[in-house]
Amino acid sequence: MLIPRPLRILYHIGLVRGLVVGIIAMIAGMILTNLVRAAFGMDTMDLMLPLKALFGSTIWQARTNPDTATEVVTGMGAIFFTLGFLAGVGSMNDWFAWSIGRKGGDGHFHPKEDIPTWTRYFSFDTNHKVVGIQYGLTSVLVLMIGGLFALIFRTELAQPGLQFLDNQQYNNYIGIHGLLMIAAVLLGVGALSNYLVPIMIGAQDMAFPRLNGFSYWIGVPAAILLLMALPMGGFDTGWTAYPPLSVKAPLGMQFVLLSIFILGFQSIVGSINLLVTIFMMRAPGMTWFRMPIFVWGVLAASLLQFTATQFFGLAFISVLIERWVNIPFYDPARGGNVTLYQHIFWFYSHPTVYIWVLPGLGVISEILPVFSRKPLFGYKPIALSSMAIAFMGYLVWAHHMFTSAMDPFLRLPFMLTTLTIAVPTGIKFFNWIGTLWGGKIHISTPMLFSLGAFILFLLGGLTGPPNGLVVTGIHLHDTHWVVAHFHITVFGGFLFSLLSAIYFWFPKMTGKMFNEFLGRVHFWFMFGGFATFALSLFRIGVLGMPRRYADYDSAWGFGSLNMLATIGAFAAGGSMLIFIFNMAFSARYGVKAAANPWRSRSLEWQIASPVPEFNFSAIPEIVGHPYDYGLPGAVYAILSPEDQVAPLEDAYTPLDKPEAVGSGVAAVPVAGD
Amino acid sequence: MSTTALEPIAHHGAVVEHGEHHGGLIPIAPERQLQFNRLGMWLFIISETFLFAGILIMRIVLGRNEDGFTRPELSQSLGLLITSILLVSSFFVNRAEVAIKHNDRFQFNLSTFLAILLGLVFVGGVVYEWDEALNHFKPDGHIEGGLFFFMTGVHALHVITGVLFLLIVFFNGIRGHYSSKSHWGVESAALYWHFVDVVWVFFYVALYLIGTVPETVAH
Amino acid sequence: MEHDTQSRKGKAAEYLQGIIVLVVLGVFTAIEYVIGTADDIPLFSSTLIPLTLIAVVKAGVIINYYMHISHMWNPEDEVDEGHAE
Repeated sequence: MLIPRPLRILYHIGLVRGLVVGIIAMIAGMILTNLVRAAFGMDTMDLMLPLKALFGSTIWQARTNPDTATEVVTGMGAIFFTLGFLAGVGSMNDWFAWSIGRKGGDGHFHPKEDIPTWTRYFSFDTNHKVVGIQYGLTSVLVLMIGGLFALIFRTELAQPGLQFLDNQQYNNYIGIHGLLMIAAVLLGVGALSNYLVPIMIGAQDMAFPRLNGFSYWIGVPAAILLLMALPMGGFDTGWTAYPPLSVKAPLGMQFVLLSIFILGFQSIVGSINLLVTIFMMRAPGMTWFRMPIFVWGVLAASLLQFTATQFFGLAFISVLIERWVNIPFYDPARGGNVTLYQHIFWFYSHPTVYIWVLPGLGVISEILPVFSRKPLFGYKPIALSSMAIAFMGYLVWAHHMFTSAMDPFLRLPFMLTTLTIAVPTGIKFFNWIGTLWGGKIHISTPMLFSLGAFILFLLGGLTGPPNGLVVTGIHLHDTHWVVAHFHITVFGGFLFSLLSAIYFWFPKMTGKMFNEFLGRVHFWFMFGGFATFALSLFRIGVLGMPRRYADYDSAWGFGSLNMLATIGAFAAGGSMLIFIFNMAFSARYGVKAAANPWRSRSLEWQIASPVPEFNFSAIPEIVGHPYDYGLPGAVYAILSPEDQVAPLEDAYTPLDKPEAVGSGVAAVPVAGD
Repeated sequence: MSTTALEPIAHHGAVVEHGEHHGGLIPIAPERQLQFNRLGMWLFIISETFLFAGILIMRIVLGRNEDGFTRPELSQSLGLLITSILLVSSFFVNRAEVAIKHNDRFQFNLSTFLAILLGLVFVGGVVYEWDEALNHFKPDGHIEGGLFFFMTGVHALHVITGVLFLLIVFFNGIRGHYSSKSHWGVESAALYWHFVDVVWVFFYVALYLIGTVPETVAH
Repeated sequence: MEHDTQSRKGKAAEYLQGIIVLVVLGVFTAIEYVIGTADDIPLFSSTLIPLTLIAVVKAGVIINYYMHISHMWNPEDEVDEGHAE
């Protein structure tokens, strides 16, 4: 009681504790590594160097090839920082207790007197909904930082000539933009799947709640290390970190390699947790083909994630080892093989787009039937196409390497597998059209974003085959066409779905309704801006402008298109500010939302908003199919009467004519089938 | 955020106290929890398999010349010795697990202790081998030698982790912490240790047995 | 009392199984060593395939008998022992 209250609150914020312990551990780790190196007679690092660099001197930026001592000592500092951070946050307390034979805590949140409840969102917490919201907030934060870098170099590209960035800065910014966005999207996948999967399958929490909290917190030091890459000298390889350039890149490269390696732990641990949850914790009666489609998407994505991520780690750690102890994996003069890196790298990095997109497509499949008031058309094909995409995803990686030193013979099989993967994706599209067809469509912000995702992902899908065909792929390789194709696919397949999901489940998470008008303004700016950006970029790419160049000749005539793309990018980026304002404002001052404002049949909408600490007081029983909208008498689940919340009469619902869930009559009969 | 997502709402006018809402956490039956743990552990092992498969692919791609596979110049007898040591330690770990399942505490403690000892001898063997190998090749020389240090290094890191797990099991075991009914700690450490052994089964073949030592030893 | 003797008998059998598995693994390792280190074996043009096959068999033996992969889908054989956390 002697300690003043603000200090006690600070102490109870895990993030603050983690940072303090992490920085102490980092300094200790660097000193220790220096001592060990000195004991073995190796050269040591000047530990004052970071301070000197901090106060104005650009001593690290100037160095293109850092000496091994600096590299190893700072790298060990980063590793110690991560471990110290995780220990300081308190994410491993129970495991430490178990390993010395103590009992450990019960893993639940226990509110403390005079410590405000919001601190649990900045501390280690095992509840899957808290973890999901932590993931979500971090994802949006990282997304905004990554988008800011994109806007900076997009402005540079708006006109020919170098205006305010030099080549090195441009390279740094495209690399950090790519990696931050990858981290943001992976965090976003974690947000959706952690928050939704346990409720959707009728469980009270994840299978391993402590591991769940841990897997979130391991991403925070990874994000910090990633941002450290720029002040530490940057890296000029782009996000792919191809050797031999990445072996010789400045010190910032090492932080990228370490950060992504650590982020890999999050992916692996998180997906194993989700897999066990989905396999083991489904409510009674929830057979595989009664699971919501989103859970299928997460299942398929997790299967890819927990295996392929190891290859990403292997690719990056082998580059790190080549930098540290000079094992010549990627030095052909000493027997190394540069193409091998590309194989290992793309064996993860191609499936990773399915890891992002499959949960995103799951969200679209959840939202379309709700706003069409019709059963999901073709449940089984949609569910199984996710698994087919996941399986095929392993077999297409070398289509990124048509212009590499790979044996040209391999181009043909990879072209065929690449084109085949369009089939399961097409199945989803036709079933979505079947769902919308003849439905009573309600246009609301989540539906707008889902339709936007539908259109953009369709464009992304249609621009894919030209990349996959060897004849056109070689021409389009490394042009802005590829950049446009990738961005439109990820925007459609993931980002629009994520925004759609945030709008859709916002009432469930906060109990408040967002502002519909601002939501629509956000959509039209985002959609219009992004479409302008992407379509301009396609044109620029076909005209032949290579990617990753800071400058271009005005005589080539890309100038006006690049200006247009920049304007579009600013419109899309600026609209995110509207989104953040809408979310923050509505969470506090929004209208109270009904427990089930969208009249959805899914389990999470049948219980109170915000969701109670342990979701259900009794495990529900599943007796029907989740998407039987508009079918009279169809029942999906039997919940305990305590859990089932009666609709609030006075609460806001954007859909007209309240009707009891599952008992409505289809507005238009499902004709013909 | 002032509205935390988990605060029970004030619907129907009644504010429910935090943490005391109508439903608590339904405890999961121990048998079910055990199956969760097992599935999680096996998925982790499958995930790690991909890492080691990737390393083996690197070895297959890099460790060859025009005549076929090559291998570094290593002491065959030492390789066979450490392979046997790891196999025998795996045997003792299995024996420890059987012993605790039947509440045979003496055998359990003894077997765990011997397994740890053999694990440490294995690590010592790898260190000795590195010392010997440095006479012939360096990690920053030709990739052939570099791969040897890389593969044994990654594997030895896993062995050290496994020894740490076994030490935890041992110290908890001699203080009487496990029983025939409850020994997931023993089982998980054993699974991990056997997996490290399985990895070495393949690494032994890949490092010592396949291919030929090239005639001209490049430094 | 009767249950106790049964349990002890099971224990002896399981110990014995562990030893047998170790011997089998040892034999396979010896075969591997011979194939891998012999200067000239007329039987195989390349040692890669037989050595990989033996390694797969060894891994299978360890996974089945030491790691008890069958407990994943068949936990009944120890239910009567009463298993907890």
